[in-house]
Amino acid sequence: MPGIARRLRLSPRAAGGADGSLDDLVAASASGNTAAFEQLYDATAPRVLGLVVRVLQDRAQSEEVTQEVYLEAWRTADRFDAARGNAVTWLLTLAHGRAVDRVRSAAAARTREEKAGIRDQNVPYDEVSEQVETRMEHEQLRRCLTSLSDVQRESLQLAYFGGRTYPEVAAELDVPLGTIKTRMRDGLIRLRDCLGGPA
Amino acid sequence: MTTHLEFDDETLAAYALHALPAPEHAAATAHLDACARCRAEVDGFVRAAAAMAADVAPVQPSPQLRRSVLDAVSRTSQQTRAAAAAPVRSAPGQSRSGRSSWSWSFSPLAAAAAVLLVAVVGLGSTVLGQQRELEIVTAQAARIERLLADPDRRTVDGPVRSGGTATALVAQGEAVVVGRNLAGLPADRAYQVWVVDDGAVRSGGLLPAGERGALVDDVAGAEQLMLSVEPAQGSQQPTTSPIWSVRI
Repeated sequence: MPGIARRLRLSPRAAGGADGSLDDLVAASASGNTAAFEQLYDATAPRVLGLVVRVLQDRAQSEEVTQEVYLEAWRTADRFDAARGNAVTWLLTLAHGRAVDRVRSAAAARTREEKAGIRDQNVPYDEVSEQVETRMEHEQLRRCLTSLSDVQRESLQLAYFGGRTYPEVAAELDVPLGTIKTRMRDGLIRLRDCLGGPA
Repeated sequence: MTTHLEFDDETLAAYALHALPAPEHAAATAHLDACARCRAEVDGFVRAAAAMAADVAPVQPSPQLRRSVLDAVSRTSQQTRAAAAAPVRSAPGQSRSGRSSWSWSFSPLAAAAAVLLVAVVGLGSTVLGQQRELEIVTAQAARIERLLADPDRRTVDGPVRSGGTATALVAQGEAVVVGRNLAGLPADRAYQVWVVDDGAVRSGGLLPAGERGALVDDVAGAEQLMLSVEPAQGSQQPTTSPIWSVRI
């Protein structure tokens, strides 16, 4: 059965070890080790805050949401399971969910910038300051995104960065609901397969 | 299985992107806790979705944020199974991933079932062996599956006054209440579900921490479900004003 055969594991890092040690920091945090949690925060906060800012646009609110993310990470560290996904994935997922929820709750009070979710941020992407690993991930993602069709990429980006629900994406693009869901799934499958699964 | 028709990979992909509307999200959350096959599928989508964040420039947090986070952490208790429950004898060969099959947090998309495990043991009842815990959880998972598969299932959701939203999935006289992005509570407080039935208010159980759900018995004929913040061990009647209520 394909679903069971496809066991999800950490994608191996060429540099080796760094992601493994972040997973260990979460595990240590789970037993109350605040020094480990501090290290986890320092290693991951720029990426977490970066994602939240990208979705929320508002720096101050983004820091509030980021605080909530780390508090939740601290409270629920015991439930982190590295076999299902690494620490960075876990944190970015927490962050994305909270950012999207905040966007939706503010949507009624705020005019949505139509394409804000897709267009590049005005925050310059400082390639020089990137860690080697995050640069590799960045390049890999860029490469994998080119393997998606334009409409797949568009629906993924509207949903992921724009915080839209799939019915909202369908309405904005004037495309049937089923078509949007198919594009999202197909795009995500291509991305998943391009990024690589089990070693 | 009828249930799986609802939770096809398109739904799981949208779930991983946080692109499901609240009621569908709550239903999927509850289902994932009971379905290992869907968890495996969604894990791959989650990994791909999170990889999209690699396209985003990191942003250096302010020193205030760091101080604020670390300060809050030093004052915040953690939800560990050991803290929530009386000590449980671990069975030989019980792997960590086996134990977390119903408890992995993927917040805000975290699994919803099995809350009663925490509540039951937290009431100071006799120490349960892991096998008994597994039986309880499996039985709850089955009840949740039946609830989700019911074509007459209704969902109602609404904002929680202190932050976040909560959704009730109601069928067959039972309900699952799932919170999403609820405000964190101090270690000595918990969200408690209340059932309003013919004007009388009774407890529907506690919401566990971390975006999980409560399975509420016996809501046939009840008019309303509510949430309030109570002491962590729960109250007989609400001691604070409800922060969420829905008509069911």
